Amino acid sequence: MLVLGRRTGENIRIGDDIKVIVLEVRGGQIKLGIEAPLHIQVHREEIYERIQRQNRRAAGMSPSELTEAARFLRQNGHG
Amino acid sequence: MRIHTRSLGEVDATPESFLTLPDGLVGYEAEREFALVAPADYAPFRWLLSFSDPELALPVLEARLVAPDYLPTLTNGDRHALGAVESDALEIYVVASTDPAKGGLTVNLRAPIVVHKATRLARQIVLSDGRYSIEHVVGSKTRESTRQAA
Repeated sequence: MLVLGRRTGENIRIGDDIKVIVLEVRGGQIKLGIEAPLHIQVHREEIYERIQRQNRRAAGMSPSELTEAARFLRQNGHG
Repeated sequence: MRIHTRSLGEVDATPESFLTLPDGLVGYEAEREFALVAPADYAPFRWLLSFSDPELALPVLEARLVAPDYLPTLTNGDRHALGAVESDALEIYVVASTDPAKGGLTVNLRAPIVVHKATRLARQIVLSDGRYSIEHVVGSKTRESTRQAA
């Protein structure tokens, strides 16, 4: 892993078109600004991982679970 | 076209149901080509089916069915990826699953799947608005408390 020291207001360039800017460092927290092309998605890692887990869990649902959930939705006026 | 899935078996999909997700889904970035089908047995669920991965069949719901006041904000990047100019060109779906910890049906309001009706391009967008829950229990209020807003 590449390790770089940076101060507030300094940047890191990744390739031609990604820039990470150190905006603020305070009390163990760092605020970063990220400039990247529109097609690059930038996520907080823990959020990304939770969404990934939720997608996997959804893909793992069985038809019987879904049939039951569908009945629940219809009975509760969501259908 | 017939799509093979593990959970639903063989499913017939017409070309009108085909979708391209240029960035794939979160955790399944390599999968680009899908069909969005609505087998009557599972209504109101629809299924997002990967053409190439039989394991990847995601149950989704139209967002308005479970969250009438839901209004996700798309970034310029999202609009660019979808080729969307007007919001009314879009359909919004949320991924559904059962959460054992929460004991019921949940939907992911944080990362909806947005479909451009005309171009058939779609994207799972990740909202920066932390008020929308990844495991929203169906039947509860749409927005979580600001507990996770960081």
